[in-house]
Amino acid sequence: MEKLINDLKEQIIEALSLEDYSVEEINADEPLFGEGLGLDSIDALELIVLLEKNYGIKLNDPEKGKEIFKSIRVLAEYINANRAF
Amino acid sequence: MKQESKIISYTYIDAERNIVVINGEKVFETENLDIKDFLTKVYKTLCDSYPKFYKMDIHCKLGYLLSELLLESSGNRQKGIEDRAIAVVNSSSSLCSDIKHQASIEDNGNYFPSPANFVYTLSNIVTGEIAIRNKYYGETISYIHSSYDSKYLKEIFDLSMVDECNNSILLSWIESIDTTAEGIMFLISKEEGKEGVNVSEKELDNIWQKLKNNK
Amino acid sequence: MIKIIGDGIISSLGISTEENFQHILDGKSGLRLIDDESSSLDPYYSSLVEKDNLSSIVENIDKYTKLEAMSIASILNAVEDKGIDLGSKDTIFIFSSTKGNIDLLNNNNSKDLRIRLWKTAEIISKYFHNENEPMVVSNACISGVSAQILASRLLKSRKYKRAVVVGADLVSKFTVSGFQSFHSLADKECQPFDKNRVGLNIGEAAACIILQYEDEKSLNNDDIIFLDGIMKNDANHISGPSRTGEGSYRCLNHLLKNTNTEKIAFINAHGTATNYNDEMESIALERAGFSDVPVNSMKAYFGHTLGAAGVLESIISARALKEGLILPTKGYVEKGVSGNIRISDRLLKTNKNFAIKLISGFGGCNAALLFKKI
Repeated sequence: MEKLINDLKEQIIEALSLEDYSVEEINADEPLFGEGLGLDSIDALELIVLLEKNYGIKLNDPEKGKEIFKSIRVLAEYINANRAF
Repeated sequence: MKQESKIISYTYIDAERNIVVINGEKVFETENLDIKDFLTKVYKTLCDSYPKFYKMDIHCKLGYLLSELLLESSGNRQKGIEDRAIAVVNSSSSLCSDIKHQASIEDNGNYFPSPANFVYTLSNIVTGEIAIRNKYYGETISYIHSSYDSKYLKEIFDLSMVDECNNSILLSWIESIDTTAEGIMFLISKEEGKEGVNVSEKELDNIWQKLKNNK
Repeated sequence: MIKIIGDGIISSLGISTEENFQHILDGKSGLRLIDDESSSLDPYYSSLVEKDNLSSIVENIDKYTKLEAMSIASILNAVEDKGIDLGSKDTIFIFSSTKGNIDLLNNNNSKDLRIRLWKTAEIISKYFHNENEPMVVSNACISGVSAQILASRLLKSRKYKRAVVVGADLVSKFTVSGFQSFHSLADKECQPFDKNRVGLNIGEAAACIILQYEDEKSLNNDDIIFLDGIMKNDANHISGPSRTGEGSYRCLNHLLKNTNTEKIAFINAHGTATNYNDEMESIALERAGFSDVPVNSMKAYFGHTLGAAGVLESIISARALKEGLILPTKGYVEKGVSGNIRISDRLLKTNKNFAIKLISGFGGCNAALLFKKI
């Protein structure tokens, strides 16, 4: 689980161009949107691409993202339960 | 008497040559950085923190930096105004981002179009980035023209000023493609009491020629 | 005064303004399910133009790309037999498009000049032997309205006597995949302002409107005048509309300098049928005091034709105004936006003389035009 969380942090920094952040600076339990990393609606769509590309998880309804993208830990748990590879 | 419109200030960046010029004066220079690294260096060295910068494509980064340096150095930011137009001209539209998007969809077996990249496949996004940063509610427009052309820039300026809603303009030429990323931005105003050079086709040409010849 | 002296439309609904308008009156839609791997991995709803249908209209059509041929055909339809000399020095071409010949782009041809919009515009104006350098605007989905505003400014400053404004865009894998990545394409025909709307359809079209400066005295009854045009930015987000409809509200408010809401026959909204766009427009319209003015959207007839939309929808609106009609919003059944607005859901007659075209696009841009019938 911790390895997955670490991988996710790296992938998110890369995919969302969070160049000011390092893996250590991101708290896995912090909210991704609003406060915390301050992500926006395009970031949410980009995370959907990341899920499909890296884990084979297809999310057709962007609304579903709201629950899954609460924090990196929640996201990691979701991936663990649903990943295709 | 009709007030002549004035060029209040201008900024120039040539990312290939690694230089930043404000009002004819070289204010920053490095060596051997590639375009992306150079623009990041300029941002980190000369600009306030604005994390959205990292999300922009090269075209928008260049336009954003030109506007930040121009508004900050000339003390003319005036956040929240509605009478400042933003007009950007370029030749290749958003081709850098277009190529990236095309690459992501070319192979059906590796088909992952990125929404964060797709939004930059519109040549006017740079005008939106500047408007958002400064809360400028005025008109934003993107023109396509084959090259830097002072006559054309003057015409665009004149057209903006036909509308009484516009009292000043950020007028810019930005071209980014392959290994080139070069741009200039003028702040031109028709407001009374502003200091600057009268705007004319000749002046817009002179400024450009000097920048190009100043190796 | 700036008068519309000609207009032409090439779309899935027909190859002239007349055909397009008649099909709208008959309630027809150009949208259909497209199942074609060259433009999308999954089937999608869209409205497409067949280049072959234009071969009897455009001379040497093989020399031109589909987008160029569509643009040329729309101009030919606009001049028809009106005896307008498009080659003359006092005529300027203004070309507007979001992506132009984007279907030509592949891995290794980025140097091809024809991908550059200025080159495309040159090719089109050369067809008509016009020597003036064409002006090119690429302002996301408001391109076609921006182009008309620039035309009006050029004519007001008397630099030219007439302006040929063209808006054109294609449906290609490039655009379809992009909108799919935004999850904004509907899996059915779109339903603007409806409570069951699930997104937009993209469509392709070319449309041409010819504007000319005229003395007030020389105008005739039923002439349609381009009275005013305005652009404003939301200054909010590059891909999401402002929740307060800031830019659109400011545009609408500006137009009220020259009229009042009671004189306006209808507002042709952007009405893309995405959740956010339609909601935003309803808020802007209510804020600006337009709650009682009928609002329609044409997206369920043509799909969202991107850079062409601003010209195409202005032409249809101007035509409806001329005929004293308020067009229905195809696809609309039950109101699904929070703003207090009146969606036009059936064909109505009107004797009012003003109409508004409202539009917005990525980059936070918004624009509105005011047309008047003499």
